[in-house]
Amino acid sequence: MHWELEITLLIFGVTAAWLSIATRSLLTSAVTLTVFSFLMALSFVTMGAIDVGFTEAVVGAGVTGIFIIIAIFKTARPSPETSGSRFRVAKLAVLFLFGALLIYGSTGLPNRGNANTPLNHDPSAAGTVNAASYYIQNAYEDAATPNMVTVILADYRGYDTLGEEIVILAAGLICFLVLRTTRERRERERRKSDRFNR
Amino acid sequence: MAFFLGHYAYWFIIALLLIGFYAIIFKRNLVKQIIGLSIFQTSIILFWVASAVKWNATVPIYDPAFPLEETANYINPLPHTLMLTAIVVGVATLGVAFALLITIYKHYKTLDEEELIKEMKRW
Repeated sequence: MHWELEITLLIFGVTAAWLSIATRSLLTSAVTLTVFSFLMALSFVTMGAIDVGFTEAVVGAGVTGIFIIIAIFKTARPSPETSGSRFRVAKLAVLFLFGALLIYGSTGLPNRGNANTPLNHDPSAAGTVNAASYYIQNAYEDAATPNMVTVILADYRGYDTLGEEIVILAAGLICFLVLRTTRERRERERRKSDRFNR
Repeated sequence: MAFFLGHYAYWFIIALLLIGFYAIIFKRNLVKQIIGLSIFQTSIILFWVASAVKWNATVPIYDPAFPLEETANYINPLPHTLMLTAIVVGVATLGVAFALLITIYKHYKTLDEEELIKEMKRW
């Protein structure tokens, strides 16, 4: 909504992202990634997505940072980064092609911020009511909740949210099953490490 | 100038996508690769949020001062909802990635990609 502010935040964000990739220490990397997530949360709020910004600040910045730091400490001393990977030229070519293709594609996108883009246009290309326009016009009437994003999340697209909860449950179960240590497994690990040391 | 104002956010998003992709394919440490994946994902979320913007519109919360009939008054709420789901699911899958990472470290005692490939061939 304010392009000067948006550009400033995005420049900071790109810098933070680059720092978190370029730094050698993994812990610095995790902290810089948290900074990046907070800057992204601020940009979301600047672009009018206050719910997304709130979620990104809590979940993206907070929980992701904690996950990474736990993983770093669980894996003993982070090994110093060794540089040099194989197929450097081929990978660079892929990266360059990917970037060129994206920039070429971005020139074909309609100007953002325009209320007449296909995303916001009413009626939609298929001749029906645009979903977003329908939600804006009827959300307050249907659910008596002023926040449209909440109404879409919980009422219009409740099954989407149910699916999301199922994914989270599955992810939690997988983490538990992968990380749990039974007595049998501990025995096996010890035997294996004995063999490893001999 | 209109073209620049309508597209600068996309170019920043492309820069972020390339940083994330660079980390995924060039970095040898698996933690760094997952950090790259996280940056890639955040930039896609930024793309959806950025394309939902309408200039001179308010946030998608009902305000009696702005009539609902004129949809240009409110920013498109649908991409916001979808990305809300994507952020939470993304963090859940990131948790699974780190659980797998810890298990890999327990088995092979290394997180370096090249060393891991060597170890896997040895076993």
